[in-house]
Amino acid sequence: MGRKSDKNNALPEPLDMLILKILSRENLHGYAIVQAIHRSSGNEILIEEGSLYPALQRLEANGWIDGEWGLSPANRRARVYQLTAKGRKRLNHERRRYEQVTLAIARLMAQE
Amino acid sequence: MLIRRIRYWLRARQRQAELRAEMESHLEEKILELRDAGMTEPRAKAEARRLFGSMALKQEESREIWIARQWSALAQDVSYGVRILRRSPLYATVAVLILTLGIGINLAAFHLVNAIVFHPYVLRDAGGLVRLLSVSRAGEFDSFSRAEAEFYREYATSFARFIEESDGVNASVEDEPEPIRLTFVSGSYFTDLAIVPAAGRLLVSGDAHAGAPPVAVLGFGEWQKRFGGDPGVLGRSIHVNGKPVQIVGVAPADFNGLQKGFKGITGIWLPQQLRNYVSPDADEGRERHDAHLYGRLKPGFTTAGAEAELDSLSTRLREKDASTHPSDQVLVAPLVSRTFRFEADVAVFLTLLLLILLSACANLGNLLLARGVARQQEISMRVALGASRWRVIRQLVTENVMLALLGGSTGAVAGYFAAKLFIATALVPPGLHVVMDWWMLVVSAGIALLTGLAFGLAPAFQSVKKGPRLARSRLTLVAVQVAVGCVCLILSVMLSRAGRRLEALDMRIDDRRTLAVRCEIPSANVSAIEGERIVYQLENDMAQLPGIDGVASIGPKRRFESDGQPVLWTTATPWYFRLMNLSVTRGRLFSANERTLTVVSESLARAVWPNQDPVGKPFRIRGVERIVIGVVRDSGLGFVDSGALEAYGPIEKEDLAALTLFLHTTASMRAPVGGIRTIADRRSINASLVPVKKALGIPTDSPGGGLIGALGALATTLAFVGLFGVTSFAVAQRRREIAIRIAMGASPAAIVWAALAQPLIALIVGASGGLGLAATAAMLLRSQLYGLPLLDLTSYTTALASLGLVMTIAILPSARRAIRIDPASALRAE
Repeated sequence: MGRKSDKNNALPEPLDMLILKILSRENLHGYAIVQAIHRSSGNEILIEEGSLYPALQRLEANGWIDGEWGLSPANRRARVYQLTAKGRKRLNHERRRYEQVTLAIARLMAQE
Repeated sequence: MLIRRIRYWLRARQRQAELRAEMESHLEEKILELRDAGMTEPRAKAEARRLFGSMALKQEESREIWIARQWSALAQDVSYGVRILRRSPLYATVAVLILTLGIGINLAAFHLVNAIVFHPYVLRDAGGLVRLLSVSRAGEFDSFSRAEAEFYREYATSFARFIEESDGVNASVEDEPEPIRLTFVSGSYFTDLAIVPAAGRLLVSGDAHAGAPPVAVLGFGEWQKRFGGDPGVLGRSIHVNGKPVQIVGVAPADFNGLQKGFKGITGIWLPQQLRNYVSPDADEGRERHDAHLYGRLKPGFTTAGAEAELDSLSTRLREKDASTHPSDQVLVAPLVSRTFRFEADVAVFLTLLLLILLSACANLGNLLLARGVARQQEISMRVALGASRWRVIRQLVTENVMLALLGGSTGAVAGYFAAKLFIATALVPPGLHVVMDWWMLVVSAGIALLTGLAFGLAPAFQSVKKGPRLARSRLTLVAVQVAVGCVCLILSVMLSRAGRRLEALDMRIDDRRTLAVRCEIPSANVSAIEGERIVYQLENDMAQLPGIDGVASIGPKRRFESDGQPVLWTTATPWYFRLMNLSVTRGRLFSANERTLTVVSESLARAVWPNQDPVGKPFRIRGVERIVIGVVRDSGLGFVDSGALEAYGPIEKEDLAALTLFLHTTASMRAPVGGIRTIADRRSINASLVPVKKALGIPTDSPGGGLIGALGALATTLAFVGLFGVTSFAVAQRRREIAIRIAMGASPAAIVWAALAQPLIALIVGASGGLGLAATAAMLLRSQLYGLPLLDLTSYTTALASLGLVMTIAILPSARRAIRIDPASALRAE
């Protein structure tokens, strides 16, 4: 899944990339991540809330993010996620790839 | 990454709970949000859940992320395997049973080897002990002359402890006719080895001082046998060779000295200094090579350094007194060696066991192939649904390895207890004990795993490839099975025939009425005629003892070759022929003073002078020409001694140094013992009672025929099952072809041949391979065959006939079925 994208040039796993991007700005808990993505995309992207958690687990298993129990802004106990150094590198990598691929797609679509 | 995963798995349950809590908290926040937006509580809950999706599914997905994919697949294979095996419990049980047997037998044997080779002593810190070996032109020995031992004890400085133990010596105790084994040890022997007594105390250095009261320690077995384990025996005085010694303690049950190999159980332990007291030797036996030396090196001293020191000491001793025969070189080696050279018979035995395991695996493989037919549909379905070949093979192999591990663990338990049982019931040295160490664990696991792969791999590949066929591999398996069965059968027949030779010998001598006395008679400056006279006088004296009705003497048996024919040469007084029940078939026996004559056995006469009268013929014996004067029946002793033929001559002066007297008594065996000693003492002869069989050179160890016989039965059964399976399969597979042949009017013989040609060829190939192997194995086991020819026709034909019979029975049902196929229905069914 996440690792597969290393091997071929298919589109990067978009959800992973979005989570990494959001967490690069501030540390958030799960619910807030959904909200932040929704808000930052101009209310365009609404991710299926349940799918967030396997994705978080995947990122954590790869060592890109770290989760720690803390308090949400609403003062609830929540697991707050934070980008690791490795995760930051990953985000850059994904971003570059994303640019390459979208550019390639745009070029292809522009052709008659 | 791996470390993260492992950390995760160490706390998997907690992490799962945490994830759940996290998701629950998310839901609650969502519900709050929805309610704030104006929904009623129940609607908000339902909506939040709908938006979230299945929590259990997400949880499952998250969990899988942490598992490397191979692992989850393995878990799947295993759980699938468990389900499959539970669905066919009969198959699983049979498979596990076969494996338990095969693996158990092998492990039992490995346990015994492990016990005998690597754990022969129950000693504290046996690892720090060394043994000394004497190297001379004659070879490498574990014993030194007493003078040499004494010299080293006095001057060697490399040893913190210097430990001495003598060869076992036979003695009579309280004038009992059954000899008891004495072992003489250095005074601090038991303290040096830190041995704890079973009762009383063991010997201490004070017991070895000159003038100390004579004391002895009983061996545990002797204590049980003679005194019924009575603790009151401590402090009691017993007579060893007529000399009183006081019992001070009992050695532990599991201790029997340090000497390698099993030479007998020591009944009484005595301090070295009592040797001359209980069994006097001329010149104190300084030249006798019967001292076994051991020790513990001082800290910081190496074996090489000790060797150098002992070498220089032996050179000094040679300059001082060459008559003590010091070693040319002394080796210092660890007492318990980690290296192990397989003896030929152990190697043959273990190989047979492994072959039987292989044979069992072959059967399981066949069983598996047969199952493969039944599962063909399932397997093709799985392949059709997109399972990769490799994945299906892995599934099948996993199933087999599971079976093997199951059988392996039951086999490990069975093997452990089988070895224990063997040690408990068979005559083995005390102290031999089964040890479950890491080495054995590795062997157990390795055998189980190899077994699983061995019987599982080939069938798994085959089921996936083209479906089960009567493939070459299957025929090969049957050939191997037949070969193994053949080897085991031939060897068991040979060994039991060899055993019967021994029994025949046992019948020949009346050992419950015969005493054997080994005598060393001083013979310096004795002429040939005098020598013979001394023996006859001794016999006359002995014949006067109460109850004695016959006395015979023999010299040491000597082997030599005459025209390539091995001959066992025995010098004897005439009564020996009566004692051994050797009736004269031609000519007459020699009498006193006929030193140029000889009497030969029937076999020797037949071999050397076929169809001629041997009486009067000259026969060269050890360079001297003698005239054959008579022929006697074969005694069998020659055969036992590696197939030599027997010849006899009158007693000679050279025999005095190692003469064996046989006394036949009509009354009790006890009565003459005291008298024998009196006579020996009066003539200053060193005499000791020896077991009669030993005196005659009859081996007392069992030739293992029974054990190999059991293996033979097992191997044959396995081959039977294998052949039965293969032939029935062959017929089932070629049903249609056979039906057509029948319809075309083929004869029954042609039908059977067409159906079963392949298995029959495999059978023949296997049997001939087995013949070759058996001959090789027999060569290695030569010493156990007691002169049975290596190509003993009777053994081979008997074994082959019984194998043939069993195999015919295995084939018969299939052959019948082939002939009785009804062409109409067989062809219609297709």
